[in-house]
Amino acid sequence: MTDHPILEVENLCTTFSRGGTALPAVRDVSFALGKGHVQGLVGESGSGKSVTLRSILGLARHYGEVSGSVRWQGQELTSMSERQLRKIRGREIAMIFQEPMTSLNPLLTVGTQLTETLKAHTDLGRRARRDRAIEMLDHVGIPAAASRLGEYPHQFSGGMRQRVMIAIALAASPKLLLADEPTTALDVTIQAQILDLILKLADEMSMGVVLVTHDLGVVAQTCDTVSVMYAGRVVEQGDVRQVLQTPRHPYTEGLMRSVPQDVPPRTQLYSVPGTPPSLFSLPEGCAFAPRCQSAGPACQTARPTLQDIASGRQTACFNPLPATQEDAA
Amino acid sequence: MTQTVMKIDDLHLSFPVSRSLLDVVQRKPGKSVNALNGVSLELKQGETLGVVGESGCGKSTLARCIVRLYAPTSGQIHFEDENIFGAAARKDRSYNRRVQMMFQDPYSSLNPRMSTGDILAEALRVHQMRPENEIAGRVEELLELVRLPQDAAEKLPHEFSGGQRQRIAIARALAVEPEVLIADELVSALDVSVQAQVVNLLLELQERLKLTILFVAHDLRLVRHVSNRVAVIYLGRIVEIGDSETLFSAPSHPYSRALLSAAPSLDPDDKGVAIQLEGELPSPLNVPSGCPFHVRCRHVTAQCRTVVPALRALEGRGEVACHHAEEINQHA
Amino acid sequence: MSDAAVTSAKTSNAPLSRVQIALRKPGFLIGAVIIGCSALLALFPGLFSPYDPNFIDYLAVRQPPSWAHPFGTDMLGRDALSRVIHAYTVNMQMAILATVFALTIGVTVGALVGYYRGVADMIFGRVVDAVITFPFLVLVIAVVAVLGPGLINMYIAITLVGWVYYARLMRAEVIAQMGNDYASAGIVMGYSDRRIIFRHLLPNAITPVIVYWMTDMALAILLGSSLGYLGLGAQPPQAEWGVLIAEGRNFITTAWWLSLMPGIAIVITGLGFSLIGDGLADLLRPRG
Ligand SMILES: Nc1ncnc2c1ncn2[C@@H]1O[C@H](COP(=O)(O)OP(=O)(O)OP(=O)(O)O)[C@@H](O)[C@H]1O
Ligand SMILES: Nc1ncnc2c1ncn2[C@@H]1O[C@H](COP(=O)(O)OP(=O)(O)OP(=O)(O)O)[C@@H](O)[C@H]1O
Ligand code: SF4
Ligand code: SF4
Ligand SMILES: [Mg+2]
Ligand SMILES: [Mg+2]
Repeated sequence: MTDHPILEVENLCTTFSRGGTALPAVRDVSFALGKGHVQGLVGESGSGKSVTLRSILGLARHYGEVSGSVRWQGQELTSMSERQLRKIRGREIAMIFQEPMTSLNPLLTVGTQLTETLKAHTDLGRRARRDRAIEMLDHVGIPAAASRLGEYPHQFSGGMRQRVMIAIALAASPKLLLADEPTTALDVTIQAQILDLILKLADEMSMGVVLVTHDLGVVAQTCDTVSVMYAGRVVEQGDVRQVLQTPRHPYTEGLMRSVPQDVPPRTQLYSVPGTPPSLFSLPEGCAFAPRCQSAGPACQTARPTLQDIASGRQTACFNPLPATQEDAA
Repeated sequence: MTQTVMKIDDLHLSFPVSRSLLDVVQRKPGKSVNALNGVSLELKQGETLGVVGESGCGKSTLARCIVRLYAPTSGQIHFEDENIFGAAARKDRSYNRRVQMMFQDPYSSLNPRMSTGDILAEALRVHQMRPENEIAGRVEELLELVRLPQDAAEKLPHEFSGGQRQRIAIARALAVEPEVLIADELVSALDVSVQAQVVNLLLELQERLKLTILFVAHDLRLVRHVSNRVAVIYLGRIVEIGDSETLFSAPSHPYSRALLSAAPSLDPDDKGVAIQLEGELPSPLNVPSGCPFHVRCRHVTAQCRTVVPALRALEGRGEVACHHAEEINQHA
Repeated sequence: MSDAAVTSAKTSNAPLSRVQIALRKPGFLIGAVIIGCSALLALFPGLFSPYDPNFIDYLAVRQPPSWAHPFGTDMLGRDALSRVIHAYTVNMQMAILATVFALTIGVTVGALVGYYRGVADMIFGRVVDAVITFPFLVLVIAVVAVLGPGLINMYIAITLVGWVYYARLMRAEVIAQMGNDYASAGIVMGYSDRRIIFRHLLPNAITPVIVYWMTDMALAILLGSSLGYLGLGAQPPQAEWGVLIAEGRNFITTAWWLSLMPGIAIVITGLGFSLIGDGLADLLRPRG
């Protein structure tokens, strides 16, 4: 499946410093992504999902320490100069940010912002740019696109602005889309439309997608593979069906079980005890150990690393849960 | 027959939109956001009524009206047969004690400069729930009730996680021994692994203290789990209300169907078919005539465009506000 | 495993206390030292001044700085250093008396109109518009002109104009705090307005006002000495920096030190207040 990965992330680490203390935001994240492939990134707030995306695109190195390797079609991005990166950003790799409402310039019309992107990243003429802009707005489901090019962001609803952001990101037909919670601010009915669109483009334009979300339903419906993050590390990754249906890491299992599904109404839900640790005071061993029911003595002192447990399936746990159903695939 | 504790009648609320200078110069009429357009419902003793709907449909506005943070433009709310917006009721602080609200944002709903103990003690003192010498003991009891460690009393809100802060907010609401709790997106800001803890606590306390709860949330699975009955709101109107299991397993209103079908399933193989809605979400600045849903509805007829459908009971289902509910349900 | 035990928030590895953080900033530290010294000089000028500030010595008129008179002497032979030191009392008093009443009135009015809004707020808006169209100094001089010169009248004038600035700041901050759910929670809990305003909103809203207050004290000294210079504030022979500068004005070419030294005192004290103001912003911010 990932015979010719377009994106290979290896041992990515990002550290911030705050008040003189080192903050290990991302640790040893590794994954590979093929053409047209959708990779999910899930985890609780603060687990390092956004920072991972920003580190891939070389944004985090402006305010943090980034190490490890990010190879984009064979080229190493981490050591690339800003000038070289600029050619790749927007044209080959596009990103949709988590806060869409603030990412559009309120003083420029939607049309201008779209055509500017096209001007920067394609060599289309003025006419062609306009046509392409209309086409893109059409694509993301904005009705009467031609007449809305001249409008300003505040004349669009929140959901429409988010779709404009997506249109801008996709305008230059990127080969990789980094999408940070693209639908969290949207209603479920609109969310379904947007996810459909992203999937369609991934399919038609063989665009790779890294999709950050904390909604396990979104992962189940859109992703091919998924990485589960906890306290800056990937604790489990693999095929989405396998990870969600037979989680092997206790945290993934806890997440899946605490979703109220197939439990009698108004009964107690399963819950993972405790709360996520602060990155400032991570436990010495496994970061999940204080909340883990399978924790043994080894978990308190040593840190588990990601290990292959089946083909294309990895988990970072000393006592992984048994594979209850056959991993027949 | 369970007793009705609160009765909401034809509640309307519109927020005037501030006009720009240009509008004033051009003599454009002032616009207003019609957040609630005639909501009627009853809260029954000891039940949990879930409220769902798209963002901006008026869920929080409804919750805030119930606790008198907003005054409705028209319509009434009766609590045990007394109009809560009446002059006598307004003076009487006991309503504020008996009906409590919990807020969505665990980071802003607690005064950052007061310790947990002070926050709880203040509530006890103001409503004279306990004589002064029993307050410290009661604070301990409350902390235990929401399962916070005893040393929590001395700590400031910033020393707690989001889930813990929501528990402090629950403890504060429970301090005054209320009968009705309004929970506006109580767990939405919490991480999935912590959400369940808070929901469990709420369900358990409801059982123990016989609370009536209005549970506003956008997570449909969660609402289904905690509610006895559910109301679906669209553009400030209830379009469907009824027994939770019935509504979730067989929604009757075209909008409820679309909403429920759009929630992504946890099973990767269950690709489901999200019912695609046409058109844009209409804005509450400009509520469509007739059925508010008609601009996006596949079953729209001429009647829908002009006549507002009233909520009416449907055989074997709850109450639905749709002219063609019967036919639509037959074909489904 | 009880989950309460696990969830107990970990505050080990607690970052530095606020005071430590504030003191780490060299600016705040310098400010604190300056204002500390100024306060000592103001409270006990006699301990630090080498001579009686009003001792007249016609035999030593307008002497340049020397070991005996580090700042020289003035046209009456009074020791300039002693006069500058004694002026600390009245100038530091200015910093406080010209601002505390404006602060108190402004904070109260601002909190009330910010909380209740409505008609009172509209009227307040008009007052603000009216006051801020004129430069501060011009208004103060106008009021002094009506009341007559002198320190007390100057305090009254500054308070009459200055409270508006505090109230405006406080109002904006209270309105911002009202957007937080803890304020709504107070209303829902049935707390009295007074409790919500003074116990909940005010402590959270006051930080920027306190920071502004520090700068305002610096401005008050500047304003007070300007009025002293113009003959509208402190009156000679009172040792006051503005008065001292005015006295030295006629001899600026021959005895420049008479005007320069009080000027430097004004600048340093003003700087001290401003530096403290910057540091206070960190000190007063709630954690979280
Ligand atoms: N610019 C920054 N400087 C310092 N620390 C940062 C910065 N950006 C993020 N962090 C920290 O890095 C950690 C990971 O943050 P990140 O934004 O990746 O979380 P996330 O998984 O995206 O969470 P969410 O679901 O809330 O978006 C957090 O502890 C965060 O506070
Ligand atoms: N104080 C206010 N002033 C003006 N408009 C308001 C105010 N509060 C709410 N509104 C508007 O009223 C409508 C309903 O808002 P409300 O907060 O009740 O929605 P909601 O259903 O709670 O949405 P969400 O799921 O996003 O919380 C929205 O259009 C909102 O912009
Ligand atoms: S390594 Fe140990 S503590 Fe960590 S998840 Fe696995 S069993 Fe639990
Ligand atoms: S009344 Fe008409 S438009 Fe409204 S939901 Fe029913 S069928 Fe659709
Ligand atoms: Mg993020
Ligand atoms: Mg809301």
